[in-house]
Amino acid sequence: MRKRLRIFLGEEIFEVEVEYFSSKSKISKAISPRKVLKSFSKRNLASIGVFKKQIVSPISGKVILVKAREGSFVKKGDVVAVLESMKTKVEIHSHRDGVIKKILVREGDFIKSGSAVAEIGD
Amino acid sequence: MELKKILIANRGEIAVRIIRTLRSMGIRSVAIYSTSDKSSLHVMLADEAYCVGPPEPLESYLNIDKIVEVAKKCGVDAVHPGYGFLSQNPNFVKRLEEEGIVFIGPPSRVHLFSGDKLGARIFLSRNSIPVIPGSLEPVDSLDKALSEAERIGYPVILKPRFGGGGTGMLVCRNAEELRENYKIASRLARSAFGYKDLYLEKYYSSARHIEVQILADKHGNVVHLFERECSIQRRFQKVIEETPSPALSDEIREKIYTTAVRIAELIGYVNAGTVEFLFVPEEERFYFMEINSRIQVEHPITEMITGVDIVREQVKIAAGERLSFSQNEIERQGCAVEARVYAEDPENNFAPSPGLVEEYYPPRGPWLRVDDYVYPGYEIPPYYDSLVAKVIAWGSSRDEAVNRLKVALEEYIIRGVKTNIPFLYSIICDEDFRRGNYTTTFLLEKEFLRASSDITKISISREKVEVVYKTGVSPWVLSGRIY
Repeated sequence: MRKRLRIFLGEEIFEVEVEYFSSKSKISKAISPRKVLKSFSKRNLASIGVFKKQIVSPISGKVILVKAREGSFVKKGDVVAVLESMKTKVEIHSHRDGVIKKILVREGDFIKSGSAVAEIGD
Repeated sequence: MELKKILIANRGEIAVRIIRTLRSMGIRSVAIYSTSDKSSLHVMLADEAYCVGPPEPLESYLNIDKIVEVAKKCGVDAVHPGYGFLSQNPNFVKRLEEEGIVFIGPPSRVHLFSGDKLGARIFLSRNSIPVIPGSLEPVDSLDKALSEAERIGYPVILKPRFGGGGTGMLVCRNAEELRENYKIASRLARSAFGYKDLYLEKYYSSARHIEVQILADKHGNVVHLFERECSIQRRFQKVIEETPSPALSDEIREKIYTTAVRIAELIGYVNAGTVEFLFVPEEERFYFMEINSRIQVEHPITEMITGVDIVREQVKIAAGERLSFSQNEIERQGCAVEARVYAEDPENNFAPSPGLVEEYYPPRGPWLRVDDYVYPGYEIPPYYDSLVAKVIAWGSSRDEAVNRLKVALEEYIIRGVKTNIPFLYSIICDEDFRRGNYTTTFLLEKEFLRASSDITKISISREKVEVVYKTGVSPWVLSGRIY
């Protein structure tokens, strides 16, 4: 019996096929399929990748431009805001397609890495 | 005039480096800092330290009123500006002159001269100094730009008259591009520098950046401290520098020194400065580019081959002393190479990487110098430049120096923030670099440098070092050779 799984690593999405099989002797070291499924349970998925409801800045810096508008549709990879960090411009991209529900920062704000820039939904 | 107490109007590695020289001279040092730099190394090393404002540079390290206020309050004799920030700001220099505080650098008239790039070109070319072929008057209309470009020959580069640092410079390969870029360039020049004046120069896509270090006292004595080659650049930012340049013949080398000294004499230069030239190998000619009226980031390589402490000389010159050596007393020995370690992620398009330094173990060893300012537990703030450290190696030959730098980069450990160390390592392992065969487009041509095939090589030796770091036990002991 095979099962298709998606793995989200940052902005990358990997699709893998997992198969249950019996002859364990062929593999010297393996994680049990159940464990794999468990670690990718829905609860975990909600905190990463497409299910995440917030667009998060990976870096600390000053917001110099908010590009997205509330209510507008953005595609994965679109620039949502631009930060200035260490005298360099850094673009914050949307990690998924969706509608911008709420902008959480203003131009001139200083934000820390890991803080939310906008809320995104379907 | 004796300078007993000096304020350092800067932060980071250069502030640390300046304080060290001041301490060695028995001069009291005063640090200034922004609220985000409270735990920075320069604050801890200085004899006194004062907060000058919030993190934003405009409100702290660029805040002339506040800095002058601190300087007066704690009674300093002089201010050392380092590089960047206020180091080339004529208003700051003038203000200090008015307050009777010595500025460790050239007088304001020199800054005004070197800030007007076109003015400097015109003046120097009238004095038969070779300048890059191009316009010798302001280009104030599109028509003029087009006719000038026709005369010079494409490709050309549009530059702001009162500019610097690569901002607003646009390359035009034909008349069509010039038409498009002219408007953009004048708008950029106005918004970045306040003046829309432009001028045109011939654009050499592939040349070498050679600069000459000069020292000039207040009594008209000028000497040079040989050249530095800084052609390895990424987006107008220098990455690796070395001295002597592997590109120059002895004849050209002598010529470039004499020209640099002559330029300094012509403009009445005072203190330490750098005259930048563009060397075009196929023409075997060099052209004046600009003069940097401050200490340069890459000054340590010159110190390594001459034994001259440039900061010390700056202080002595500012105090009115005569240069203590003449040109023929300065000797050059061996070769030196510098690699600039930036907090940026080479695997993610060099995105800046500020944050907490979790582990820090800089390389050590003979013939090695590391100018840095971070320590484990220090948080690199996102408000300033991403330069973390400069690693400088000396060798009796170029190969020896480069090999020592290579070992140093292998040993360097920084955790918590990303750095460009693997990128630096790939450059110095490159065959063309090893042969000295490179120009300013080196990093553009070597796209493969982004791929990190060599990075794995680093991590092998890095693990070894980590054993020492984490356990305090030498790998020799671990492998059973010493008991």
